[in-house]
Amino acid sequence: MTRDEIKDKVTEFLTRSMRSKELGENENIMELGLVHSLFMIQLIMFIEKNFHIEIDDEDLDLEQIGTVRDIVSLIERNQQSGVSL
Amino acid sequence: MNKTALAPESTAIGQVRQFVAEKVVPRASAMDLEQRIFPEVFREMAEAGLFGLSIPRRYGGTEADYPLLGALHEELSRGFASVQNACTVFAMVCKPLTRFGSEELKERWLPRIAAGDVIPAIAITEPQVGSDIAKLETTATIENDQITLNGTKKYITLGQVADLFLVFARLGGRGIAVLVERESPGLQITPLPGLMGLRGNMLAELNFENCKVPASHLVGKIGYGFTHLANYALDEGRYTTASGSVGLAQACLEHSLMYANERTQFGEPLRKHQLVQKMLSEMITEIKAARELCAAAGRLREQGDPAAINDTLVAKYHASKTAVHSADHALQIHGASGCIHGNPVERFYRDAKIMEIIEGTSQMHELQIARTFSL
Ligand SMILES: Cc1cc2nc3c(=O)[nH]c(=O)nc-3n(C[C@H](O)[C@H](O)[C@H](O)COP(=O)(O)OP(=O)(O)OC[C@H]3O[C@@H](n4cnc5c(N)ncnc54)[C@H](O)[C@@H]3O)c2cc1C
Repeated sequence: MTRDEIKDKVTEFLTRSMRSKELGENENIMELGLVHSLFMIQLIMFIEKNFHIEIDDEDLDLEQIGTVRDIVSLIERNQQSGVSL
Repeated sequence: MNKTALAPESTAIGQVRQFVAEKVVPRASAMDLEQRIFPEVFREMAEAGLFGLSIPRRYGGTEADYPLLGALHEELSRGFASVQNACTVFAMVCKPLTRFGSEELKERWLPRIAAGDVIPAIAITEPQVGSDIAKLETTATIENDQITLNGTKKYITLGQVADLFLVFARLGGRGIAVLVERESPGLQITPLPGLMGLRGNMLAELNFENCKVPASHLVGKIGYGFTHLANYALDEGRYTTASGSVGLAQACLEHSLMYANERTQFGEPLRKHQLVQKMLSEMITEIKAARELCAAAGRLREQGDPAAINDTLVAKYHASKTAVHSADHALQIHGASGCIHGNPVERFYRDAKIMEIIEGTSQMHELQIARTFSL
């Protein structure tokens, strides 16, 4: 999957999960106050289902994955080095 | 049932149905009265592979997929809701442990839980904190690779007999989850008898007074306690509680149909009276809808679709209400005979109400479902 394809999927997931209309690549969902209590487990399910990788625990820190760009990088990193499901 | 692999779905459901009919139903009234699950029932549950339903095979579990897991919980609850809820608790510990625990912790605990040698419990609720779990008051400090816990946990299912607790606390303002063994120094356990429903749950209060556990017992990173682990556990618990609620409602329906056939008033069996038919029709319809909601959530969960989390909320919300409504109708249909201890519908009535409180109250579900739709 190309970076743009990953980005599209991530953006679609985030806007659906947050019920937000638009989300720029660098907009921080924490700062926008969009994160709800079930977001993290939705994100884990989303990544594992769509990209067939198990993200390393170290990388699942909300403070480090606040933007579309952060999440795309996380997926790219784990696609190269992470555990395949 | 074979301990390491579950039979194909229909066989596994048949086997658990038989297990419930032979081993659980005949003892349910006595367990309810004595406020416990008998040790031999725990043993038989382990032998039937029921401790390991949410544990991967590589750790000795039976690892049911979600649709099967839901169907099995429905069967268990038809027998005794506390037995079903015990399995919910096992899953609420084992799922987050499998997802976030270190390999060392998984290898140490999961096979022993699957074998029934270790009974696990989950400790979130506190005297001052119920629904608002982000405000937990139990504190943890970490020093020299040791965690020290201080605080109180309340209403902990299986607390009276559990060997291992997944405890949620606050470490410098950040949520943590940590495994605490029953014999840990500084942990005191007090039974909480006198429960209205789910009386076999063996609730306890846990007091941590400078309770020490090795830092290696942390499950997940510091800061993941509430956002990742508690939510992961509760989401899992909601799914099986939803299915358990369907089982409870189904048991209400089956007992009501039987009684409505046997009991004659005004020269006709109750089932011929239209107002009784109305109650039975409502039960049949609501149960069917609840079962379908559970099945839909189960399918999405199995696919790993993030929408599964919302569907699980909806399923648990509706199914627990269905259990309460069905139990209400069942008691009404049974009249005075249903109000006497020993008649299962009296127990169903008490057990059903608890389903609307555990794994998130109905109001918490309403709030979260509304949030999903940006209300
Ligand atoms: C049989 C049984 C077994 C249990 N087992 C366990 C266990 O194993 N581990 C564990 O940690 N806990 C366990 N619990 C505790 C259970 O999880 C809590 O009871 C539950 O989370 C609700 O908390 P509470 O009872 O303190 O109610 P509270 O949170 O105090 O709520 C009281 C009432 O106010 C409502 N309410 C609260 N906030 C709001 C709001 N913002 N808007 C609208 N309404 C609101 C609630 O819906 C509820 O109706 C168990 C409870 C029971 C009864």
